[in-house]
Amino acid sequence: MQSLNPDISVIGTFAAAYFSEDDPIIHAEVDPENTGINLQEGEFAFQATIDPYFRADTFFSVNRNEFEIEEMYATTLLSLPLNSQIRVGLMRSKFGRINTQHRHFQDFVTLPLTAAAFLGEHLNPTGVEFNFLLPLPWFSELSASVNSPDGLETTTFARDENANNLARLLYIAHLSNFFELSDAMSLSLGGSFATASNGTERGNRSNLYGLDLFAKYRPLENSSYQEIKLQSEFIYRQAETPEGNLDDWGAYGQIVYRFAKRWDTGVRFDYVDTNDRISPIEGEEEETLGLFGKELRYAAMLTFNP
Amino acid sequence: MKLYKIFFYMVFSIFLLISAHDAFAKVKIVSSVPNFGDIAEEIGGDKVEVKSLSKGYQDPHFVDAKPSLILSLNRADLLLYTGLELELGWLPPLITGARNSKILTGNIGNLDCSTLIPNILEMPTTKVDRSMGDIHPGGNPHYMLDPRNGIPIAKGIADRLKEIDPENASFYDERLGDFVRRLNEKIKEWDEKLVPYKETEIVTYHKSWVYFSDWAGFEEVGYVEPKPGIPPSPSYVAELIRKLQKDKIRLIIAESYYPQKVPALIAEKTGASFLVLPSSVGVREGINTYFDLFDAIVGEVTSKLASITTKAGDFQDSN
Ligand SMILES: [Zn+2]
Repeated sequence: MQSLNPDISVIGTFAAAYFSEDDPIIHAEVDPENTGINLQEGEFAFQATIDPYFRADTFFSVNRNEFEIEEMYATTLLSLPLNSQIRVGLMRSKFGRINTQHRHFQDFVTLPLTAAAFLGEHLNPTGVEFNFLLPLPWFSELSASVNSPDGLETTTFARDENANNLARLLYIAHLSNFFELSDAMSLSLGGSFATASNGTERGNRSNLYGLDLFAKYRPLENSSYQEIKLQSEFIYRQAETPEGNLDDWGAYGQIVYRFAKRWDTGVRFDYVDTNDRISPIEGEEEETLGLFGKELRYAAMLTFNP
Repeated sequence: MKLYKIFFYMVFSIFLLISAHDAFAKVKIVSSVPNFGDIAEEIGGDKVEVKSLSKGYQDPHFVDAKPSLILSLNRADLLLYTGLELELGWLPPLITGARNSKILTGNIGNLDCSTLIPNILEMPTTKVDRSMGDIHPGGNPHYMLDPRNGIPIAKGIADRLKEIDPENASFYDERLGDFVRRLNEKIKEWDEKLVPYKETEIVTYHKSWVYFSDWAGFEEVGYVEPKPGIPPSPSYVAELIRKLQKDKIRLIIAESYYPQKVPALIAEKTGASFLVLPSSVGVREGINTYFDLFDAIVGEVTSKLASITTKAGDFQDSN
């Protein structure tokens, strides 16, 4: 039997944060909780080509008290009909952009409110995903996956009582397009859709719609380490609950400038709006499918990549 | 692990397509960097279609793995790359996205060109760790800067082309013979130009000229980068300046994609000349072939060294 010698990497993400309010509301577990320096996460990655036709990727994340399998999946490498590629396992779903980015690739130490509110930090169900390269002159990939809604952190999706109904599984689709405007300038545009039962009552579902945009400017010639990145995502959620239907949305936009080889700086705005009718009562912990009411937040960052 | 592999094969063998051989189609070659692409074009002529993933003016260690590059790899019959982990940061994710069995490791369409080079420099003899610098863990990957290495590369590419497209084997052989003859002639010519400058002591920005120096007979006495891939600190630069002054080093070399401020400053403080040299086909207009590349490198180095020696001579005369 062939020996498995995976590439192993260990990455620690430390975050220094400054909050302008004394008692900031924490939306994502891994977000820093107060002003100061924190170990956010240690990530262990094991990546190996199993044989010439498959590769396996596994990512564990650990922090002081917790251990999580973030991803564990296999990917086909070989030529398949319709230019498809299949991934099987536990994966960060292709829903928008930030959801597929591991912590240390994210530009800000706090997670965008949209990801915290609608995706449960990250949406990483277990499932099968089909990715088709569309026969177009630019890079265009259509992804469709069927997943189990069990065990997710998000409150948007949950298992239905009628667990045998295939229609209640978590279905996710994503279309991503990449345009090379010039050698230095590129633009990605994507659209996402996810639907599954939400566990509030038999037959109730949640639908998530997403739009994502990413633009990058990086001159290739001299001092090629400078770059500017613009990233924005919009998520709209419809959910059926016993109290009525929810219509919530959120968006974030960020711009990051790499001004020297190892230095990034940037700003982000963040907004989530929930349906007024059943928004949580002031001062109480109660949430409606993970939402915490209307919130607007700004963040600025400076990163040194050692 | 075993069971789920069996499951995979069962599912996907149902899907596998038998690709029909098209006798009139050109062999599609994708090269990670332009140098291999140019040699492939010399061998393949109009029987091949060549595309390079990076530009000659780009730092080959840090290429953006743009999804648009996946499209070329998706259709490729042959992938040529440097190996020795030069493209480690960007080529593997592109190959993963390419969905192309032909170019996977171990297949005929995957050619790690470093395997063709008889003498890889700086092969690690001790255990490699990151403290030795970032980017040359398996030996120095800048072997194309010795023109003598163009010959085994051309032979290796021709061998693969003959396997992929056996009908045109004699065509490839003929063009290979012609290329090797022309390159050998040129190497003789460049050698003669370089003879007067043997044992010239130089400083380079990155450890990317070791093969060139090995061929030209130059001696590398320092680097602007303290370790490959690590930018210099002010104290390191100060020390390097003292070294250049003490040893009277006259020439500093860098590629165009490295920051020019620091080497220019060192040159200014020490009276050395700072030369930005082309390092790849396509680095600028007029350098379209592997021959153009060395015509430019050898021409620019020798004329700079000639002017330095003349100046030094004048200085002695006036004494
Ligand atoms: Zn290098």
